[in-house]
Amino acid sequence: VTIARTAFWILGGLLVGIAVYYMLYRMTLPIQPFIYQAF
Amino acid sequence: LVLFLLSPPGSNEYAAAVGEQQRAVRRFIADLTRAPERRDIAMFFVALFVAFGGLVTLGHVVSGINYIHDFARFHLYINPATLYYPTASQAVELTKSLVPRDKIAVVVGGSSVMWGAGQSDSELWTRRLQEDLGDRYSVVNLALPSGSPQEHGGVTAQYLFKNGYKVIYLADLGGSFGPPDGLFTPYVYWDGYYRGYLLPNDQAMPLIETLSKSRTTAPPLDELRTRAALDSVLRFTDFWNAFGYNVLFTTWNYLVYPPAGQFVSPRGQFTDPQGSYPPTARYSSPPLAQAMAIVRGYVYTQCPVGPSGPQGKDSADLYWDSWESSARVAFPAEFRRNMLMVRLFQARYYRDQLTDSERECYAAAFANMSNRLMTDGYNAAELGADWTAEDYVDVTHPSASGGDKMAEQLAGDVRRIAQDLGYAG
Repeated sequence: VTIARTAFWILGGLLVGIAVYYMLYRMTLPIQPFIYQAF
Repeated sequence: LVLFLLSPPGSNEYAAAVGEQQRAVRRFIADLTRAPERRDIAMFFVALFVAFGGLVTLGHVVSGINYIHDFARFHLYINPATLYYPTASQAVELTKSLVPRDKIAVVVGGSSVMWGAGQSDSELWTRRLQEDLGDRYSVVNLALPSGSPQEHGGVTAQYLFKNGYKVIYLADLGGSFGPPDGLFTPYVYWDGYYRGYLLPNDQAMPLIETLSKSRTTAPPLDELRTRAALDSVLRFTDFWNAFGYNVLFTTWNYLVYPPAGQFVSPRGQFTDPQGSYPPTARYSSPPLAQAMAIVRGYVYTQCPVGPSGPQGKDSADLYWDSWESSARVAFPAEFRRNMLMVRLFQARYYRDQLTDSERECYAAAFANMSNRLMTDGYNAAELGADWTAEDYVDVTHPSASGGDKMAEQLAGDVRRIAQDLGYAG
């Protein structure tokens, strides 16, 4: 059970790390709706 | 589990087995949901930093290699229209992978005219330009629909110039240079800026500040700068672009759908969807009145009607003043000799509907701009004056045959510039 508990916190940390890195990308995409109007 | 499976329901062994199972599950949940201890929190943060740091490292690794294959241009599925934003590093690595050190790099940037909006992949004018120039030159088309000279092509060409490549930069100019960091995709200018790809150009900063305040086609300047500064250290766009190109694209958008692929399909699986422009659709858009207004816009800059108003001298003076203020700082002076600014006459079909004097003014406006470009130290080329109606697909974009003519004329100009720069010998 201690192994499961350790895995839970490590996995949690890894996933949050990936999520934060993804959010940096996704939330700063320089999206401008106007670009769409050109197509 | 063995006891549970083998014992008949209702037996003591069965009840004991189920009870043991339930207790085990309860213990497991209780253990996981117990308030975290110091050690748990430490492990969580160590794992978080390992994941984040690992991804940053991977981001730096992928920003130093090229993974885009079969490249001819930033087609629909690898350009911002479908939320794929090539970074400055990607543009540079892509170009380096296509240009051997001993060749003369001919980097093409600018708008949909240079991107080849009226041409399929096989008709693409830069393929003709490569054929016309021969194997001493390597042509790379980094233009984008709605692109500006200062964006992907400009950043990459400056990087090559700074790093000792022989480079000639071709870009088209519409009405003017516009903001010195670009109009629709200035993110890449700031990418290049914070990654040290650009030549020093402090002169441009005051104008960038001023023009960004009225620019509605891109995020505010402080956002662009903050994002690019952060990305130059953390390389998140490089990582997720590489992931999106090779593994799985993560963002939905309405232009990506079957049969071309699902929105999650890696962008590396897509090919250029652009077909030949159907001759029946030629000159169908924009409406005639709007197209004529675009063409006449140039006429009034040269031959204003009256002292004031949108067609008057005041407006023309304002236009040329702002044109000059941008042209003087858009690119560092030392690089301008390596640049060829291309201006394409609007389609003959519309120009033929001007009066004789309007046509003269139109041509004079282009000549005026050429003179100003050359005074500012750029090379200048005018195209399209003698093209036919079949050489365009609409008011500004060349067809396949127009692309061939464009390639032929510009090949001559490129050779002349190579000679002037001492590249040819």
